[in-house]
Amino acid sequence: MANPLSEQKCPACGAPLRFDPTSGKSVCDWCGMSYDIPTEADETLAEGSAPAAEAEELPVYNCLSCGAEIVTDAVSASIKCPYCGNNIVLTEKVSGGLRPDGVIPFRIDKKSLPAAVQSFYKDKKLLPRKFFSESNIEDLAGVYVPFWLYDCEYSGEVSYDATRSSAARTGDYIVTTTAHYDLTRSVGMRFADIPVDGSARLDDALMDSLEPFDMSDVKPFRMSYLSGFFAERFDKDSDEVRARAEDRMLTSALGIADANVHGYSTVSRRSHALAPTSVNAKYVLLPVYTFNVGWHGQKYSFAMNGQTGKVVGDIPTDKGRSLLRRWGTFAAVFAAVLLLISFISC
Amino acid sequence: MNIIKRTIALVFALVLALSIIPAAVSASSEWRDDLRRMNDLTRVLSEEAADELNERACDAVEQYEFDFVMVTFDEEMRGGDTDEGYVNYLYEHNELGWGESRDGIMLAVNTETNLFVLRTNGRGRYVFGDGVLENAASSVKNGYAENGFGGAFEAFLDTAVSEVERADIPYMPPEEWAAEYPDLTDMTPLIITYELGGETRPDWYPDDISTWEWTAAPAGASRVIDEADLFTDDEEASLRARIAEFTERNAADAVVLTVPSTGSIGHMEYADDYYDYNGFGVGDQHDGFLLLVCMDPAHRGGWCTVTGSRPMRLYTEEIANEIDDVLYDHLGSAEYYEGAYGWIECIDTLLDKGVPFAPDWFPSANEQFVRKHDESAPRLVDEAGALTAEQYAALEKKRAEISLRHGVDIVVNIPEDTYLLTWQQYTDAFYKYKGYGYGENYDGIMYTFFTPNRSLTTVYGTPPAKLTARNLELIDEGVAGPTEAGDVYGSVDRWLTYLDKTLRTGHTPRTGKVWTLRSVVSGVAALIVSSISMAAAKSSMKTVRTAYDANSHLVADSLRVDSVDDRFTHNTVTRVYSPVDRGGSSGGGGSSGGHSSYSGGHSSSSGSSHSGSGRSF
Repeated sequence: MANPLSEQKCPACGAPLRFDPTSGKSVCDWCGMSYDIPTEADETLAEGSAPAAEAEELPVYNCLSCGAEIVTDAVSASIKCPYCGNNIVLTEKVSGGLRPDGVIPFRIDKKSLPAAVQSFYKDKKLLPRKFFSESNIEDLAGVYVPFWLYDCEYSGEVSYDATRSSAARTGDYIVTTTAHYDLTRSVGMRFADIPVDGSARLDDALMDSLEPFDMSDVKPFRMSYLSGFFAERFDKDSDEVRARAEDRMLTSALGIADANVHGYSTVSRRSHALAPTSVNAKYVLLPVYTFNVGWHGQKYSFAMNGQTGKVVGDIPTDKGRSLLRRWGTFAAVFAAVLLLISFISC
Repeated sequence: MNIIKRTIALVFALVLALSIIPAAVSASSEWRDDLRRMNDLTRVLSEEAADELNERACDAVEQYEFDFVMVTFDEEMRGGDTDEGYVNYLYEHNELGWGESRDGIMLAVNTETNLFVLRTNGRGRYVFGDGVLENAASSVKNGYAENGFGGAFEAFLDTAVSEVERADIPYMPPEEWAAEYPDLTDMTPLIITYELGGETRPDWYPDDISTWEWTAAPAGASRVIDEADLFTDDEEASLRARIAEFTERNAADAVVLTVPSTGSIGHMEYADDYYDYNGFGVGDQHDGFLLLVCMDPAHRGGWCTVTGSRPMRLYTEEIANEIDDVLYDHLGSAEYYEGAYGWIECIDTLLDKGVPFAPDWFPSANEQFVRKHDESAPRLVDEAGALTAEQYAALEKKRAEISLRHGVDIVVNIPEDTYLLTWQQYTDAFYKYKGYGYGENYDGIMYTFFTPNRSLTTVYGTPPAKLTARNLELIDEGVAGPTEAGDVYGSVDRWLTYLDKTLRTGHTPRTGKVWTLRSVVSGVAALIVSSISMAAAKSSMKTVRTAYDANSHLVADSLRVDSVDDRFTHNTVTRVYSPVDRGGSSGGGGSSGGHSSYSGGHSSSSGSSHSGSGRSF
């Protein structure tokens, strides 16, 4: 039976290694050594004790470094020992049939997150002023989130009812002649790397909002990338979330077909027969920082794209600033237009 | 050949289906009720006559469960096919007829060759067998001889409907028919072709037009020819006397002709030829007018032909319509004498003053008008009698004071009638011919209130410096309230007040309405801008959004879009009544019940030039 734990330790001093997003290497914070990410053949699994999950509802592991018992959940694939801080990869969650096809490593260090969040606040005109200074970042975690990437061909036909109208005067009557048309557009296209998250725990809209990811940066999966970050295995398989990708493709295909109907007074879509063919799903881990911002006793969920630094999250609206903006703008424009009209009329 | 036939059949079907007058609407699936049954493709009938025939035919189809179809066509439509071949094609292609056996009869007239085809289908063979079809053909020919194409179709429909009623062979599906009439299995169409016969010409037509020469009508020849017997003897005498007066004053002829029908001859052609071949007209160009009133039930109406360069120049389309509006009000009400007399009045005024209706002060076109200053002419004229004596006195006092204060000629007029002149034409004529204005440029300002609720400010000569175009607009806006309310006194009083202040200060008073309007405009603009601003701000607050499309994941160069089919299916036609604004004129009869067909210049069969107009009633 393969060892369920993998431990990334510094060969020089034995301290835990972690993946450094800035350098793209495994680094030792104790002695300062850094190491390239090993190839698949180089990856060795450290020995450790078998999980005692059978007796418990949650899997229990013994830390390879200090021997402490660690209780984790069913989907976590990379954890940190809460006693000695050792970075542990639960290899059984990322091997065999659960091994990801690829991973986008973290490119943004968590140290740069406060600055990114402050930048995010900047153009938020209705944000309470004190939110800026009084809020705290809490529960920050760098997480490799399981995503499914879909590639597929999409094709079919869309039918429309359309009209062209012309009006002419005949005596005291306006005679409008409306010609009715039956239109059909045939469309075909290919989509690549449509990401849909495979985690039930994370909010779908929040994950959608983190797009775009640069998919050219997808690397072959190595456990070393997970060191120092949390990671999850998918708990929704590709068939479960495929409908979300197909809905997005349908919306795009219909939009493209609609845009190719020109020269008519009115157009209404009557029916469509569009369907994907040769759908291919890949399983990848994408880098995401999740955190909460606490303010006035409430927590607001945020996330940051660990590759691009894009920050998304729901933030509170200041009612006072909203009213001021609405009516201040109204008053200013009202006065300006009134003055302009009066000036022109003189 | 097939392409031509298909094209013609398509045009035929489209014209039928898209006709302005909707075909009879029926929920029945036994016949093509979306197609017209009277299809005058060569336009030999009036629109009204064709619609009436169509309506009658559709009613008969529903009543007798038997189709009655009437068509006109010409050589170009027929293409290289025979008349009978083309008629077969039309019937089959358009799926005419009633029920599965598509029972019906069709009359198709080639209006170019004057040949017509009668064709039965389905049980029509047994309704119109044994010589009945030939009898129907005779009826068609007789109808044509009496009343032209309209008469031919009327006669066909009358005969065909009565024959179907008389035969009393009801519609049956083919299986029932076979059981009921086992011996009558032959459903081959009966089809015959006949000649309508030549046009029936009136006896006053010359035998040989090519050798005809104009000869003046005999001295004392009547100018009122009442073949339709519309006038009493006294009325005829009155019209003759009025025409004699007209001719003496204008050196032009006038003829009133009433007929029961023009037969197969077009109305305008009939009027032209009657005028020419009977030698009417005065002078080298045979100047004159002829009013033709035709009482043919299929196309009852009046037509006016005009001869000679001067009458033709004056008889413009606009004037023809104005005269016809009044004329047809009378004719449509069976007031034939009043209509004819009024028409003579109109052409008399037209030749005298250049317009068909004119006030007394409007100078004659034959007179040499010399413009003058008339200091004594009243400057407040209330022809409409809209002011009380007190109001008149108050306004006149105010007007005179302002005029004196600013040294400007100020004129206010409240006309009763504009005699079909536009408001501006009337105002200009009034100012000019009544002798208003100061100085060599006849400087002055005129306010005209057209009852019930229109007004016009006009500045003549050199305008006062403070009376800018913008100030004039503001004055108009200022008086809009009482004017639109029909308050003559209030409108004139406010106009004088505004004019006074503008001439003094260069600014017009601002009314509450103006400020309200400005506030509304500003408010709407502010609301739009603030809403856009808020929407942008709110949008920036919301960063968590579900992804709904995959546009950013579309692979470059993989997109293919083809137009598989852009197929025309059908047309629909709607008519919305929207009366034409007759150029801002008011009064003078004021009827606008229709629009005349007008010809600004055409040649009659004799070769002479005419213009004219006509309208059905």
